[in-house]
Amino acid sequence: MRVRDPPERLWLPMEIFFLSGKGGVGKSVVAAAMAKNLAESGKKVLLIELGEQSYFRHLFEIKEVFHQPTVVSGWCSVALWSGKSCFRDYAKHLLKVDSLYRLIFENPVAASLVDAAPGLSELSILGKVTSGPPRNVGPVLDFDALVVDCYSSGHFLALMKAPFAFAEIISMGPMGEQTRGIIEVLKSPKTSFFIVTQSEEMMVTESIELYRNLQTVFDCQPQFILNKVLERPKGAPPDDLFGLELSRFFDRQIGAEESLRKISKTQLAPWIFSQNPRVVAEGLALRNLR
Amino acid sequence: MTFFLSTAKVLICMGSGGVGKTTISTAVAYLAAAKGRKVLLLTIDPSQRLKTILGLSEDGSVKTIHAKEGVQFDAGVVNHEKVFSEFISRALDASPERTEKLLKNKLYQQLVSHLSGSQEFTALQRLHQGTQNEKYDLVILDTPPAQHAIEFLQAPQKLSALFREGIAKWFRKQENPGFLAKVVHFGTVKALGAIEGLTGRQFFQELRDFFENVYEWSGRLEARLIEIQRMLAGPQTVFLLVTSHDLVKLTEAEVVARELKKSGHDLKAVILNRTQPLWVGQNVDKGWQELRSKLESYYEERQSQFQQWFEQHEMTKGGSPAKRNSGKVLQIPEMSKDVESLDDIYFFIEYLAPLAEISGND
Repeated sequence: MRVRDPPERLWLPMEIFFLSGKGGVGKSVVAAAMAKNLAESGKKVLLIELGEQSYFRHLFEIKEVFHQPTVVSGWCSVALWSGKSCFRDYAKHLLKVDSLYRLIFENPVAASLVDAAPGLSELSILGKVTSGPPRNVGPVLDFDALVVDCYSSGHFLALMKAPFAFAEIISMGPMGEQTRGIIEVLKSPKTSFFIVTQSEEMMVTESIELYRNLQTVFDCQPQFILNKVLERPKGAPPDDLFGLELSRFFDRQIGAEESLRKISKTQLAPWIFSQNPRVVAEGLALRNLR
Repeated sequence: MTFFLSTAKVLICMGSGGVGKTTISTAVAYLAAAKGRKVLLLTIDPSQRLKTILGLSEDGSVKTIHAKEGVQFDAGVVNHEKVFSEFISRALDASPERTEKLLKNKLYQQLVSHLSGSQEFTALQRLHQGTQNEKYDLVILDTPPAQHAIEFLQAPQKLSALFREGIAKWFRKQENPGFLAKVVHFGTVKALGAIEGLTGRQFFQELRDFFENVYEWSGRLEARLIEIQRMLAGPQTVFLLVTSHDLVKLTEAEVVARELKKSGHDLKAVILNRTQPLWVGQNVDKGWQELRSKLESYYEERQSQFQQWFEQHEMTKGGSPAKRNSGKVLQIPEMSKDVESLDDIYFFIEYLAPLAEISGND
């Protein structure tokens, strides 16, 4: 593929950070914090959320998040990518001729095929996420780092499995080429995976399960981020319900940290005492999660 | 006057991921069983701990749970792959070898786990099966984890949209190009040709084989989806909505509540899980004061934010006079402890008890 006047960064592999975790653990807020950290270290960052509906529009208090990146001032760029919107990009780029492209998306049979074809949506998303350097396929993705706020555990695993499953079935043609390229980027040392969790046993168990399941898909080393961590005050706990419940909380937290550390690198994210997700993300960003 | 816990035949527990749906479904199963109902609880992807507590296994087998005071109910995990395979082998009505061959098809395996709406379909299919079993007079479904709970209601339509546009049919006819030219619009041929160009011949061939298989069972699937829709719209099918405190989850819950009402479903109550911990406002001892006040103001801010939301939103107000009970809101305090045994599930029962006073549909 020919790239006209590439910015310098097109020759450097892009850093990609994937975040997953059970629903309600604060994965999106942690992703926003990570994006802010990276941006403050001087990088041009795109924060991506997957799916049809935007969460970040609540966090950044903006009207809408689109497929095309929007700049959130003082933070980074943000985009909402779905299987369909990513496939459109891919098709537009390869077909070049606009009428042919419209033909696909305006034809009901073809359009619903794009919707229904198993795995096509996952491959389109991962294809788009990995489309920057060194692959340089599709529209130019002019960023140094991508922070991808992925689906929760089950859906995330399905997303990651797709290219590996397809690599087994399809070896030839653009699809074969596409899957090989995706896998190469996923396995690259520039790509990292994070599993966000809280101390609750159920969440820790599920995070460890996700870690193991990811490892059966391919050899990656996801790190854990233990969210909503409290520092234990000095002295004996007060002799009331608060003391009892908080002592339990700290025991649980110690247990969680121990179990996670046994398995992989674990970072602690403090409990930020605010109801405003933007304030929480800002508070977490001060802790320099990487 | 009848009460829904005594009359409903199907109870569906909706809610976004991570709000404690499974635990609450279990507590509701207990409450109904204590009223003498013969209950089957179907859960999807429960936590390891809950599986251990209830003695459930992934294979989908049904177990009897012996709870306190002689109360018992049946429970099982919905095994997605098993239910789907069973459905397809029955729908195909084919030889075991052929069925086996299909189940081994790579694209089929992708379909089972990836196709949008297929997880929801198997949950509803299993629910439908449960209602056909005379052993039970109430089947409770804990809905699949989805980022957005509303997806659950849209799943059947999504799945049947796959067939409506005749993709499967089209692929089938393509075997005979002479005939094809007559029946298929020129645009479709070109459009699919363009997709083939994008994805490659090999992928397209796999896709064709796959849809050819789909075509054979699509009729049965459509028929079953209609039965399922009828079951969901039945007068003895009721809904509970579980949500948690944060504004995004509340907003999501409201969308679901509105959608449920719009499609004529009967939302009996909204359950707000993990509100204030019980210790808030109980200042007995001076120790750990700094942390206590920080946490206390955190929870108080959250509560007042919720209160404000509560007063402004329609979800929490009663529905039409005919369904005065809909929109009843129950609050469950945050428990600092993990659910470790059936005893911990009883914690929820106290707060869910008002469910027993919500009227049923005659």
